[in-house]
Amino acid sequence: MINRWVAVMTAPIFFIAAHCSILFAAYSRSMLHATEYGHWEPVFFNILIELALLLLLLLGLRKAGSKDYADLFLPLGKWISTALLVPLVAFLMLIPVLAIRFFAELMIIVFIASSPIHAILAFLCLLMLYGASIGPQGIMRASTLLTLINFPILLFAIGACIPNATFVKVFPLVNASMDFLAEGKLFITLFSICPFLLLGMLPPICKVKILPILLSLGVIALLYVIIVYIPISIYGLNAAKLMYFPLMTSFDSVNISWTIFDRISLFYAVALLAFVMTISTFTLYSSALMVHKMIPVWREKYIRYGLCLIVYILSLVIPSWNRYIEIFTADTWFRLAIYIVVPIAVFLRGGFIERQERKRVLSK
Amino acid sequence: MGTYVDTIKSKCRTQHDLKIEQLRVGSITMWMVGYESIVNWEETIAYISNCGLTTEAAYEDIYVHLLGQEWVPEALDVLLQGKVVLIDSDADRAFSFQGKPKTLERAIDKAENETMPFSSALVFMEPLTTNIGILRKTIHSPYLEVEGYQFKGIGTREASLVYLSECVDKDLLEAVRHALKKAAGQDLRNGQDLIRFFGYNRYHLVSPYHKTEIPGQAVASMMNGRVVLLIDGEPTAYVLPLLFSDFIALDWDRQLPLFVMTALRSLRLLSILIALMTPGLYVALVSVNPETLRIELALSIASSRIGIPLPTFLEMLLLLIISEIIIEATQRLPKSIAAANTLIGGIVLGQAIVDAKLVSSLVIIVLASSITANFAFPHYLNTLVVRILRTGIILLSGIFGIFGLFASFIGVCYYACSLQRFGVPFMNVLSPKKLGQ
Repeated sequence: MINRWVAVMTAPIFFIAAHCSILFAAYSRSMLHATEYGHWEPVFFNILIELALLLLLLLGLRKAGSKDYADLFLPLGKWISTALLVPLVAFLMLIPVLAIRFFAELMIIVFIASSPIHAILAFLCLLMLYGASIGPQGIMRASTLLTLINFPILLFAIGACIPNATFVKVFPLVNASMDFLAEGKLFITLFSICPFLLLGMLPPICKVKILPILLSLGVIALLYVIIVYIPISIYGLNAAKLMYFPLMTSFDSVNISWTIFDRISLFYAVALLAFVMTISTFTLYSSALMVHKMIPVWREKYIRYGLCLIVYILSLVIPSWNRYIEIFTADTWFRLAIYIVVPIAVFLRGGFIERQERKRVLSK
Repeated sequence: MGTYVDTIKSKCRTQHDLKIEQLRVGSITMWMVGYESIVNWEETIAYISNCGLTTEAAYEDIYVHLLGQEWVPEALDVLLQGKVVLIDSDADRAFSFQGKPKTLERAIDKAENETMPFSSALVFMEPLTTNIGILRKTIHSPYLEVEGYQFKGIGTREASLVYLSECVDKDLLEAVRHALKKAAGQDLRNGQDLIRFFGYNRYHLVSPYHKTEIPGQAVASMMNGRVVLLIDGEPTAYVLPLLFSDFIALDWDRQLPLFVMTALRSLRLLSILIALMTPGLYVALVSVNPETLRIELALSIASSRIGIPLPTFLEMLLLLIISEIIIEATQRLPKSIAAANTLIGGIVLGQAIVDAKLVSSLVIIVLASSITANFAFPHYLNTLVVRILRTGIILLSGIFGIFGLFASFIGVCYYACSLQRFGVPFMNVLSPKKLGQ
């Protein structure tokens, strides 16, 4: 029974884990800056956009059968497939760079102020490289295992925050002006939906069923709202806006007398590491796979080493936290283009493959 | 004298237990050859004289009566299987037949390494056939199938692959068969040879097999789709492949109510985590991240460490090495001396090292709990893996603190998830395919 459950739930669990890594990392800070009040509105828009793109992608994937991006796009010819895959790989590689750099920054601020950043990054990159080398099935097993261990820890940390929250601070609830739409601030926060792109690499590895994924999106939607409102309800909007790590600081405000730990943020950081590793290993693995399928003569193992080295260097090059946020803002348009082009391309390609398959069956 | 006898006699010079003796059988005088270390000589002669031969019996009669097989001096290795050869030196012909074996076995004993209360006392012994018989007795199933394999290198070793044809995972069976057939020309002496046969890296921490000496455990594994390899001369069964459930679950648990069983297994899982993590956690909390501890606890730790010259990291590593040495020293000593050694190691050293202010008493508490937890989950062989990983975790915790501790834990999780033997993942619970389906 448990194996059947695992077969259905592997993809949704991975989906949740990938979202957790992004949401708990930088989302709340970015969302706090998006508008003055009524934060649930941009969050709602985020989820709607994700839902639409996700459906487009999943329908395309279902039509195509068990094919990943490389299998779908490579038959389109050298130029078109390169134009589609290279930006996708570049975007996917941005995810581990930003995730790992974020985590290193968090570690330096919270736990190990004295360690040099290059050592922490090297350790994280080595762990990521090891994780990515254990094969797709292994990555999925690890994703399920780590999520099952760490998701409850994260929920515990969130639950521990609730006594500190003053719910009056969430008002005013309705923002009729929708100012976040006007200035394009909504689009900056859209980095949070990037894990949906990773689902396109899953079909050869495990079953991707639409309904469980949509249900898991429900859980994720709940997390979206909670994460934005935790700092607001604890510190108030104006104070929370000033913080670099509002969520982390919120967890630090908790004092539970019955644990041996003084800081609940410990649990948050531990769980976050697992999620960051889950998404980074999978992106590294899938980028290496795509590059390998584009250039079959290069061995996948060496591509992985190369990409990992690139991740390490790029994350080392980002000098400060302010610069990090600038990069985050700068790649908005590139990101949006990927979000729109890839699902549409998959949808069209999926439809084409399905029609061809039908024709082939009929002609037989 | 015939060439057959000459060949044997020349062999006798370096094989002292190879016996050759003249014997009157029926109407002819024959030479009887065999290993007296393997064959019971007197009983075999008695068997020949009692098999109904008349005094006029010719070579062919004897051959038929003793169920003989043609034999030439090149086939000396059949003698090693407990056969005896009768040579007719006049005609230079010979045949072999099964001699009466000498008992080189101990009686079936009780479990030495895997004792459990209220469990059957029957355990695997050295001879292959005894073990197969024990398995047949345990399950009484027509589906129990036994395949024989022989590994001929410098020596010859028999092994049997045992499985339940109704339950076994077909892909697994095929993979194991293939590996065993391929290795027929090599020596099988130990587990490392076996790992080499199966084509796995010998530097892996976790072996591809699980050893058990309890037949019930082997049968339970077979019912879950796994296969069992019995090797002649080894008092254990190799269950293939090793799964994570072997670290926490025993067949024995199933005699208890479900809730009790679950609690017991959760306890074992917890003990794995404690064994693996507590020393690292202590090092991380005390030497790198004391601010994460509650202030009262941090103060009490600090006061217990007053006057201690070593850094926590070295303190822990030092005591860990000493405790590992004590474990290693006690396990091969006779029981009576081992107790004395434990006393010296445990009380004298432990007490003295604290009194001498070389290490703090908290380190001893943490280490003792970790080592005790180490033996709370099944099987000594599995504990070795945890013991090695624990040292690695301490090292990383000393460098990166809490971050290093949990990063290395994630690394351990990745390692566990990466293992896949014969197409069966070590973390089988997390795989979409159930074994045997």
